[in-house]
Amino acid sequence: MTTALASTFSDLFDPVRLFGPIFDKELRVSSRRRRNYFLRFAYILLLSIFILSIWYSTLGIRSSGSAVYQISRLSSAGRQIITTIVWFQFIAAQLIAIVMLSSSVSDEIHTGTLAVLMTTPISSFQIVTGKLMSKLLQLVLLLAISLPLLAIIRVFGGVPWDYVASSVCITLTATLLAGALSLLMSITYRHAYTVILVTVMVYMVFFGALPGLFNMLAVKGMFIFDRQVTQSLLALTNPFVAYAASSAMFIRSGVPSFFSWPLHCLLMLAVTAVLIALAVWRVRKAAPVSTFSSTAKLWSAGVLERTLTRIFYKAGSLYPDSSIIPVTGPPIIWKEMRKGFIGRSKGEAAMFVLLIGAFLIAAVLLLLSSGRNFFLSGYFISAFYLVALVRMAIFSAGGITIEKEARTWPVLLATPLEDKDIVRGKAIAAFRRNVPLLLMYFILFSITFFKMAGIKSIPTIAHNMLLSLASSVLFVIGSGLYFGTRFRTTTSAVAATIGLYLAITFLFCGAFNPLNRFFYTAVFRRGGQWLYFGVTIVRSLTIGATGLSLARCARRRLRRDIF
Amino acid sequence: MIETKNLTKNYGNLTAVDDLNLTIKDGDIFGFIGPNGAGKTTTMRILVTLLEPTGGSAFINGLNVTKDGKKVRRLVGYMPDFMGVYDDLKVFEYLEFFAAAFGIERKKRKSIVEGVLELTDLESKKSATVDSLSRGMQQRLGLARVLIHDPKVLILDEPASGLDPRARIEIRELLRELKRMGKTIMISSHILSELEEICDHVGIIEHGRLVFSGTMEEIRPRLGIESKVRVSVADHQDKAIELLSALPQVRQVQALGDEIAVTFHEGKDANGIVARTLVNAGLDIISIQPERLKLDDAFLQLTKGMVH
Repeated sequence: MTTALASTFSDLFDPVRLFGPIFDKELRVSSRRRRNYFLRFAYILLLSIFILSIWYSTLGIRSSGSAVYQISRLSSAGRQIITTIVWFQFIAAQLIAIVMLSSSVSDEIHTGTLAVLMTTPISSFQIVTGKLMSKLLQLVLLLAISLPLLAIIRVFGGVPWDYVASSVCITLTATLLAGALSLLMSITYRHAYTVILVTVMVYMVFFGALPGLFNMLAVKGMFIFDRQVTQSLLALTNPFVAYAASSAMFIRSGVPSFFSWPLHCLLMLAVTAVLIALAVWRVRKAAPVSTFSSTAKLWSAGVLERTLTRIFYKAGSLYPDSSIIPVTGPPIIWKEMRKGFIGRSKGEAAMFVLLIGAFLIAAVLLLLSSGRNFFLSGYFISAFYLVALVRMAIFSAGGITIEKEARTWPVLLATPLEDKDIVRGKAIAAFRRNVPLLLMYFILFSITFFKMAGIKSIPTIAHNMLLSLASSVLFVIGSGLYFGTRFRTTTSAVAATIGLYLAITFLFCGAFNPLNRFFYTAVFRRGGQWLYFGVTIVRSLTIGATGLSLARCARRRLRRDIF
Repeated sequence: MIETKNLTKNYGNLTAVDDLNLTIKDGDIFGFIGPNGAGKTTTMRILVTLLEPTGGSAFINGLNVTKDGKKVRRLVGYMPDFMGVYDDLKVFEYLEFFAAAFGIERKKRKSIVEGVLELTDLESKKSATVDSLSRGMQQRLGLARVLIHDPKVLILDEPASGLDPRARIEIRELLRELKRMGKTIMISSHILSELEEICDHVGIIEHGRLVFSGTMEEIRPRLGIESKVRVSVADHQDKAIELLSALPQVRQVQALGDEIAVTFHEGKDANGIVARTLVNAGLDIISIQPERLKLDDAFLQLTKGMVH
């Protein structure tokens, strides 16, 4: 009896049995991939370097003061390190989950294997959860192996277990939610990049724009709830607000203030369950449709395409069909730009409409708000920056991997095009296709700084924004191209590009890195604005140069791993 | 001319191409045959500069494929075994893109694209998106792309795979047309009987080694196979057997029901000898048919380790 109960109990909670053979297969495959072990090693190494650099800058040989003073600074350093790492994990884990799940079902639909899976006794639930859990398992493992490091930092003092536990739980549930949303979108949209961008946009609207609007209305007394209730509700329903609430007080006083995090996590799990249920319901419908249907084009996308063709290419007289666009300039750029700024699928068109709408609302809100509304301006600027860079990563990394996936890569490489022309063409196209987004970001950034500092903000805009942006663009495009040549799938290449960019910017260029600490100390002691400019220039040049080096490496590797 | 000298390609411990020596003359259609994993595709990929050989060398029109990669790519049209297409381009745009990639001047592109569309009978599809084409149409588009820069050498890796009989016949006719245009064509296929009809030469490869290279006629003595003729007469079958057995060129005569199987020591003019002998003796011939050695048979024998 006891044995039977134990057996039933173990069967019930056996993940392989629960999530089915897809999960089992992924476990076996991932254990054979050397790349996964390398990734874990690199991640721990990166975190260790970061922690050591903070340690050195806080208690290093150049630090002044007595031993007692230095030890008293340990708790402050511990808080800074842990907040930076957990923020990094919180953002990176969600973004990478979105990228990893972005082609999970769409690839199966496109290759027709989903229909085959549906003819087996595997249930829709097992397909969906098998995909979700197997992909997220790698991510959870990455988070898990960082736990010992976080525990070590506790030795510094000033970091209670409550904060570590709440941060990890909030990150895990937010990652699950992001993955489930991306998986649901991958049932609807064919291309991974559409899935990624639509999911990020949904996040921006539901976890950024709408909460921001509700909060603003509540502050002005125009919402159904008062300010306090609104903010509490937002903290319960929005992982970003929850994490911000958990961190804010902790950084100031060392005491975690958000005590409702278990409830928040439960709510996130409930929303994830709803998304999984929707995915389970939709996946069975998607399988037979996929076998017969071609990609539908949104009516507006078709009209836009025809109009743009008429405006930019007066081709009717020369070419047999006015919809045929003649090849002009370097062929690689022409081919990539053929898709236009918007793209041609219904998902891309919908996303473009969403972006334009979000930009107009953001511009109006920023113009109407007081110059000191940092949350609102910070949110909009960060959101557009993030979308622009994610899109850039997709186009630069995907520019090569999509050709590999479609098997057009060998055909292209069999032409006499120079390797540098191919890499340059892909890079220019990735940049050009994102120009509208970068312009939107530039306008929002400029509005914010003009409202804050008037005409005096021009040097800041020119220096801080343009220089940082240019270096980031170079870095993302360069690393995207490099990972495009290294990986076979778009999802892997984009995940690596985004992961590396976030790691570099968060851990080594963020507010807590040693270079910035040095700069802040110098500025506060000597008031050296020029030093600030100097440090920013050095940092931007370093990031930009790294991007260029990676692009060169991509050129050298272009003809490796073609098949 | 295509030439390989001791060409070798290793993937770790696996030798995909092993000391391969091959010569294909200008204007020939060369059939490259072998079982899966024999090294056909690897050899072709080396020839089109997509892979670097581990050892040996390969030349196309005297150019070393490793050292003169760009020049070789201008000379060669390559169609891979699985041809991907850019799904968001139209047929005309697709071909014009490759015309631009091959450095063809903008003014000339339109007429060239229209020319290859006409040659491959795809004119009616020029405004269709590439991904909306059927498999056969896509294969034809692949051939059109290969021809866009008027290459002297065509390397086609299983161009007829997955096609229906009509599409296969169309591809075969197209290849004949290309041969008439003076192109040197290297073609691999598993549809062996089709290669038999269009190829001047064949090469059979197994485990990365070339086990046979030559014309169809050269395969027979290589395999030690004699020519056979099957003949059927209206009456007097016994007399026919007697007459044929007396011929010095004939090794064996055998009655097989209504037919007589005649085995010759060598295959030269076997049909004519049989026909003349029987007609001169006043016998009425109902049918006379040479028993040809099929490429499939040769392939099976050669790749079973019977000949080394």
